[in-house]
Amino acid sequence: MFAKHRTTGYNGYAVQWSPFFEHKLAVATASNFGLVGNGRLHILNVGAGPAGGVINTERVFDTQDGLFDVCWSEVNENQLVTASGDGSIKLWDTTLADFPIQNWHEHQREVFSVNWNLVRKDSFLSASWDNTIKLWSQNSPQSLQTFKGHSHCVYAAMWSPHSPSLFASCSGDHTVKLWDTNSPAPVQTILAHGNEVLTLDWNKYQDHTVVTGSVDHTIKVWDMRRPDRELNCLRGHEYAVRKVKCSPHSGSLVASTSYDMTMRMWDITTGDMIEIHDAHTEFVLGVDFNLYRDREIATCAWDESVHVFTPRCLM
Amino acid sequence: LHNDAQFQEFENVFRNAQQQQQGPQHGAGWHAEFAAFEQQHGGLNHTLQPEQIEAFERAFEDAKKVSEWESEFKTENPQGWAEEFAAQESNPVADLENKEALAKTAGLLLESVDPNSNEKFKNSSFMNFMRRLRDQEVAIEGNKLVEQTTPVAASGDWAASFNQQQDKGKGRAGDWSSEFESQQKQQDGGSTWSTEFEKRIEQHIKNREPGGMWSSEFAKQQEGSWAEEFNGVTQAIGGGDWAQQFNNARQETAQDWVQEFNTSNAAEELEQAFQQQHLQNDQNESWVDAYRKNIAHLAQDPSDKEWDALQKDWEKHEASGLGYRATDPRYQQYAFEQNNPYMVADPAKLMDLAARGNLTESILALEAAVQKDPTDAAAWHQLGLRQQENERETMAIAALLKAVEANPKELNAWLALAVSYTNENCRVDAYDSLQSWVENSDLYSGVTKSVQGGQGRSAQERHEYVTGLFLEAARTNPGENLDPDVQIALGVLFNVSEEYEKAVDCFRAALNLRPDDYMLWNKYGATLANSHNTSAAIEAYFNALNINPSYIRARYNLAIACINLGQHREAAEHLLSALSLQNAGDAARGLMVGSSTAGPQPDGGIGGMSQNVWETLKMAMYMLGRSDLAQRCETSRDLDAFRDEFDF
Repeated sequence: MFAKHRTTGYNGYAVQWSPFFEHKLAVATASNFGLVGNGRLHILNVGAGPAGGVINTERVFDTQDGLFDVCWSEVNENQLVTASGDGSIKLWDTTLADFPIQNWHEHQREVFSVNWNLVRKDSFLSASWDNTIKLWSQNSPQSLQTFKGHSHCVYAAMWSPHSPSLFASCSGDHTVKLWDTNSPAPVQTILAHGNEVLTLDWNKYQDHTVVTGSVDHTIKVWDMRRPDRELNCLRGHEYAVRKVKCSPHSGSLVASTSYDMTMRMWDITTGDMIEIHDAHTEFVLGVDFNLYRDREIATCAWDESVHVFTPRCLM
Repeated sequence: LHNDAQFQEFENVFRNAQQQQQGPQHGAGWHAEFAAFEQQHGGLNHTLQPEQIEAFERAFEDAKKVSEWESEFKTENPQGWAEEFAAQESNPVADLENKEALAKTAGLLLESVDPNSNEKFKNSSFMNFMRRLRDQEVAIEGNKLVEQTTPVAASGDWAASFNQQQDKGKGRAGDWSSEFESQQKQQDGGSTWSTEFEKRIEQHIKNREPGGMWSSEFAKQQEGSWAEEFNGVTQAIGGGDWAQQFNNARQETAQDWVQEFNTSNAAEELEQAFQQQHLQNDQNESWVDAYRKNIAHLAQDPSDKEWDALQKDWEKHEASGLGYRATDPRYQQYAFEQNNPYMVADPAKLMDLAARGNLTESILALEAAVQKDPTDAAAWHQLGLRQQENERETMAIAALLKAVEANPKELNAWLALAVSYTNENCRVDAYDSLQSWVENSDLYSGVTKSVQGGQGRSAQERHEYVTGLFLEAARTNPGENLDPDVQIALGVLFNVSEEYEKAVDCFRAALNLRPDDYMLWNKYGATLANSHNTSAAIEAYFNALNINPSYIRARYNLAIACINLGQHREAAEHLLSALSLQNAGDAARGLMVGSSTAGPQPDGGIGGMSQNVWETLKMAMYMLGRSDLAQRCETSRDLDAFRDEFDF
C-alpha cells in the first residue's frame, strides 16, 4: 500500500501518528522550506482495509511562523503540541476553535522538537536553537524547568520510554546528553559524532539503547551506560541524517530520513540497511511508525507530500 | 550511570577530538574559510540589524495603527504597509547588504552540493530556490519572499560575480560544480556545507525577520559564539551556570576540565545570554496571564504587543468568526480618578467647564458630573468620547455603556460604542450597538421592518444586515437631508469590510455637514491612509490638528503618513510634538489630582501610546542617520536633546 497526500504550499517537517487513534496523523509544516512565512499543522485521517490509501484532511491549523515539530498528548486524545520557528510552543485541540488553547513563548529561538513524557504522561519537553531544553506542563503558563548544558543548538530532547524522569538530548555541539529531571545538570555526556547530531530516539525494547543521526551521514547505536564507544555505526546515507525513529514493534528495526532525499530502514543488530524509500523528491524530514497498524509508516518531506505506505520489509 | 573514571576517559577522548578535529577534514577547513570570507566581505552586518529588527517590529505595530482614529480600527493589511515602507526606506545600503549576504549564503550552499551526482538534486525545487536567492531573482523582505525586479550584482562580491559568469538559471549546474570539485576533496564535505548553511540561512533570515522575538543582545552573543566555533575554538560544554553546578558535584579531575573551558569567552557570553533570557521570561509573564484570560473570550487591551501578534493569527480566521464578546469586567465598572478637584465645583457649571477645558480638565469635570448624577446620559456620553481621545478605550466603553443604560436614546453613544468595540475586535458588540442605534432612533427605527436578514448570526450576515439598515436609513434622507450620523456609521461599517473607497465617500459626506469635528477628520484621514492615498490622508490630519492642536492621535497618524512618504524629518517633528503635548498633559493631571495618585494610567492611555511614539521616533532617527539620537529614544528619552535640531 502506498498513498500520497499533498500539503500544498507547505514543506513537511515532522509527522506523528496519534497514540490514541490508528487512523490519525499529525503533520507539522512550514512555507518556503521554513525559511520565511507561516506554518500549518495538518490533522489527517488515513483509511485502512478497503479504504487503505485514502487520506483525508480532518482539519488544519495555521500559524504565524513555520512549524518544525509536533507531538501528540499522551493523556488527551484530541490534543497536540507544536514547535515553531518563532520560539513559541502551542497546544491545540482538534475539536476546538481555530486557535491554540495554550501558547508558551519562552524560547529565544526556533523550537526544533517537542516530545511528550511516555511514562508519567504529565509533561513534555522542548528543544531549541537557544541551546536550552525546557520542561513544560500543559497546566502551567510557564516552563517547569530549563536545562542548560549544551553549547549549541539542541535539535531534539526525547523522553526515555522506560523511566519517568530520564531524557536524552542531541545538539550541534556534537554531543548527546542524558538528563534526569531531578537534576539541573546532565547526568551523562557522550561525544557522539564528529559533527552535529540532528536526531535521536530511544529503543523501545532495550532500556539503555539510544540511536543517533548526524550531519556526518551516519547513524550510531549507543548503550548509554557505555558512552565511550558506539555499539554500531550504520552507513549508507549520502547526506546528513535528519531523523531516526526506532520501531515500536521491533527492537531491531530503525527508520531514518536524510537530505539525500531518502528514507531508509535498518537492522541495528546486524548493521545492515534493509530498505530504501526513494519516492520523495526533496529532503525527507519526518518519519513515524503507526502504533496500531504495524506495517504502516508515514514520511513527510520538503516536496510538500506525505507518504503513507507499507515498506517491503514489513509486507 | 557514570563515574569519575568514565569522565577521565571522556576528557581524554574530548581532548583528542579537539586536536584531531574528527570528522571530514573539509569541514574544519570550511569553518576557517567561512570565517575569513565573512571578514573579507563584510560579514553579515550584525551591528545594524538588531536595532533594525526592533524598528521593524515597531513599524509593524504602527502599521496596524496607521488607520487608527481616536478609537482605532486595526489596519487590515499591516504587511502591505510595511512592505511599502521597506521599499521606500532611506537606508538602501543596509538593505542591499542583507540581500547580498543572503544571496552569498545561498550561493555557497549550492557550491557545496554536487548536483551532477544526483538526478534528484538537479530537479530539486529547493535547490532551484537557493539558486534564485543566490542570483537575487527573489529575496526575503520582512515576512515574505519578494520577486526582485532588479537583481543586484554586488561589485567586489566574488561569489556573486563568479556565479554571474556561470550560466544562470538554465539548470546546467554541472558546469560550475565541476569547477568546485577541486576544492572538494570528498563529497563528504558537501553535506557539512549544505546542512550548516541551511541553518545559517535560516538563522540569518530569522535575524532580520521583523517578527523575531529575540533580544538583540542575545542574538549578537549567539552569533559570537558560533563564529568562535568556526574558528576552531572548541566550546565548553555548557556555560558558567552549568560549570558551577558541575563544580559542586564532582571532584578534581572534573575541576581541571571545567577550569580549562571556563577561560573561553563563550562561557561568559552564554551566561549573559541566558540571563537575558530570564529577563525576557519575567516580562512575558503578564502577557501569559492576559493570554489565558483571553481563552475565556475576554477582550484585551490592544496596546499589549504580544497579544497583537496572536491577534494577527486569529484575525485570519475572522472571516467566519465574530471576534470576542465584550464581557471584560472593566467595561462594567468605571474607575474614577481620585482626588478630583471638580467634585467641589458647582454642578451646574461642570458641563460648561468640560466644554472649555483641555482634555484633562474635561475628563475630570465630566467625572465629577456623573458622580453627582449617575443618570446624566449626556455627561457619560461626553466622558466616553473624551476617553476615546485620551487613548483609553476600555474606560470609554465603560462610560458609553453607562450612557445608554441611563438613556437608550442617547443615540450617538451607541455609535461611539460601535467604534470602540470595533477597535477592541468585539465585532458582535459593534454590530449590536449599531443596530441599537437604529432601533432607538425616532427617525429610523422603521427601517428594521423593511430590511431582511435580522436572523443571521454569522459575521458576514450580521455585517450585511446592519449595513443594510443604514443604507435604508440613508435612502430615507437623501441629498440635502443627508444625516451625517448615518454616514459615519456607514463609514465605520465599510472600514470593517475594507471597502475603503465607500468609507471615504461616507466620511466626506459627513464632514461637509460637520467640518469642525476633528475626530471625524482623523477617521477620514485614517481611511484614506488605509486606501493608500497618503497625501490626502495628511491633509485630513492637518485639518484635524488645525481644529484641535492637542489631538495626539491625529499627530501620530500624521507622522506615520510622513514616514510612508519618506519624509522622516517631518515625521520626527510631529512625533516630538506629540510627546511634548503628552508630557504637558501628564503634568497637568499630576497637578490636579496630586502626584501620589497620578500614577501611570492603568489602561495604557496616552502613556501607553508613548511607547509607540518613542519607538517610531527611534526608527525615524535611524532613517535620518542619527543613531546617536536613536539611542536616546531607548535610554534617556529626553526631549530636550532634540530641541536643537528639530522644530517642535
